[in-house]
Amino acid sequence: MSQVSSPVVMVVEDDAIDIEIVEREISRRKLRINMHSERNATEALGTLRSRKFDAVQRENLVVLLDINMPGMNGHQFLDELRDDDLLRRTIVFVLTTSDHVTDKAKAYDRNVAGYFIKSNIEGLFDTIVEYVENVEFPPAPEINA
Amino acid sequence: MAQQTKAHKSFLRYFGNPNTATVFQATSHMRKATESLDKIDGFSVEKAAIRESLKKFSKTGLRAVQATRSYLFYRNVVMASEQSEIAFYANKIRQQTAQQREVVSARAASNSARTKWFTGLFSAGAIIVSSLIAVRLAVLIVPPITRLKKTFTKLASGEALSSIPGTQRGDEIGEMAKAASFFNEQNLKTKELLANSNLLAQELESQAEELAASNEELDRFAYIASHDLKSPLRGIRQLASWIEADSFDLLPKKSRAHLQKMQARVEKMEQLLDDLLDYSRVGRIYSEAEEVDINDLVVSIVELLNNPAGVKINVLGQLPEIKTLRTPLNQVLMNLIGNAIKYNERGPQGQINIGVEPEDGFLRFSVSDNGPGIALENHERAFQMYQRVGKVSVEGSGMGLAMARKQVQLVGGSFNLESSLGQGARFEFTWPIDMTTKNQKHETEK
Repeated sequence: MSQVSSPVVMVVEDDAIDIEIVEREISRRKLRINMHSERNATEALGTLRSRKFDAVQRENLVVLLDINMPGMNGHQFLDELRDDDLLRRTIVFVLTTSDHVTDKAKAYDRNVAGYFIKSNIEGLFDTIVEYVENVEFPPAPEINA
Repeated sequence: MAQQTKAHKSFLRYFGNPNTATVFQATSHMRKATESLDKIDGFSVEKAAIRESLKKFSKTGLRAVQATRSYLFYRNVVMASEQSEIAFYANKIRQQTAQQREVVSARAASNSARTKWFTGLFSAGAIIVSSLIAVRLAVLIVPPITRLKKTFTKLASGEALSSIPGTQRGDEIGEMAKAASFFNEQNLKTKELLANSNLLAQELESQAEELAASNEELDRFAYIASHDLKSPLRGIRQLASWIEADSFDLLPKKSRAHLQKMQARVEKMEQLLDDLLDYSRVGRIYSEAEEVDINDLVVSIVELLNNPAGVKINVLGQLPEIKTLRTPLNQVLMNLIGNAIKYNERGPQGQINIGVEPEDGFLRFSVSDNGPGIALENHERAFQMYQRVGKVSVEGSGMGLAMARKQVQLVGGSFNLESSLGQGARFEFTWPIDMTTKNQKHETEK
């Protein structure tokens, strides 16, 4: 495993049930994952820009992002993220009900690591497990705020 | 003088039976009359007077002919006129000239030495009478006829006029004017009818637009409703599965059964919403028209469909290649052939015939079978959403034919079903041969 410390998974998802689906999948698989959930995309951005996560955690961060959310939606969240000098390298997996082509195209235009339909939660976690096992994560820039 | 009579007769013939030849005849007779006058010796003063009077006569006659031409041009259209004022005045001219001719010929024949002043006086009288008639013709007849001519020209072009000149006249021109007002009324009525039918056409058009708009709205509604309803339903299914996973053992037997029933209903509801979503998506997301070999298309459909009983599928004749949207045509054919296979109870004796015939820019597809058939009272229901009229044990959503028909109607085709119970079924639909120009609404869903 390339990651020394356990990965941090931030779930940006307005639906509590969907958050619980992720939680249950993590516990079902007994994964050593530090899970953090955000019900609101704007607040999620605020958290990422804050000092909530230390440098090690930020170097092990994976975001699971919903697309259809009230307020700031997943696409807008990605726009902000990729425009942000400190956050643009963040690894994001989309987890949504939408299987529409324009949603997929928009997400990949903003360099998501993968796009998953919610019914395929198992596929997502199979991938995440392999991913954190094998992929070198981007170095986190210093946050001086 | 006989020439003048002939000319006169020609004019009269013209008035009776308008014909350019008679006018030429008349003018040639007039010319001959003048020539023969020249042959007479002496009477230079009288000859001059007569010549003048002949000239006037000829002029008047020709003017009358001209007027008559205008009049008769429309008389043919308007009515079978008994007489015309022109004929009436021409008659007067005839009488006058008859008298004139008698006197003049009497004088010429006798060649007697009648007093010159008498001839001169008479000739002068004849000239005055002719002039008066000419003036009367010019003032009373020709302008009203010209006005009528203009009126008729306008009427002939379909114009409706507020007033017709000359209707108050008691003579033939008045009659013609009345006929003109009759035409005017007809034109007015035609105009009204035209305006009405235009209005109707506009109404129909706007109604068709409204219908299309409301259909689109319905589709959008169905899409949004089914899409948005699915998300809480998914939540319910999830929660039920967690209850089952976490505490099934803790539940009393009755609650376990309820939980399982709930899950079955949720599943059923998800299926209904998926079907509704599919139905609303019909006609929404297709790519460009492409060359499609119908034969290959049918073969690929038949290969793809499950046919465990081995129903025989025959393709009748050579199927053509057309430029069309592959996906919707594939869906329609797949649905019809699929139904024919899965409802057929005859096993290897089951027969399905697929045929295509050209028809007015369309292809008429037919899929007929020797299956159980559909009772007449169920024909319409068979095409309605969520309706199933076949054997219940056969799996199906009840949306297949509804979607197929919607698909066909979207491309401008029509659907037809011939069947009765126990007699097999014959489904026919028409599909445009060339869809390169006709674009159906390919809006992408949001």
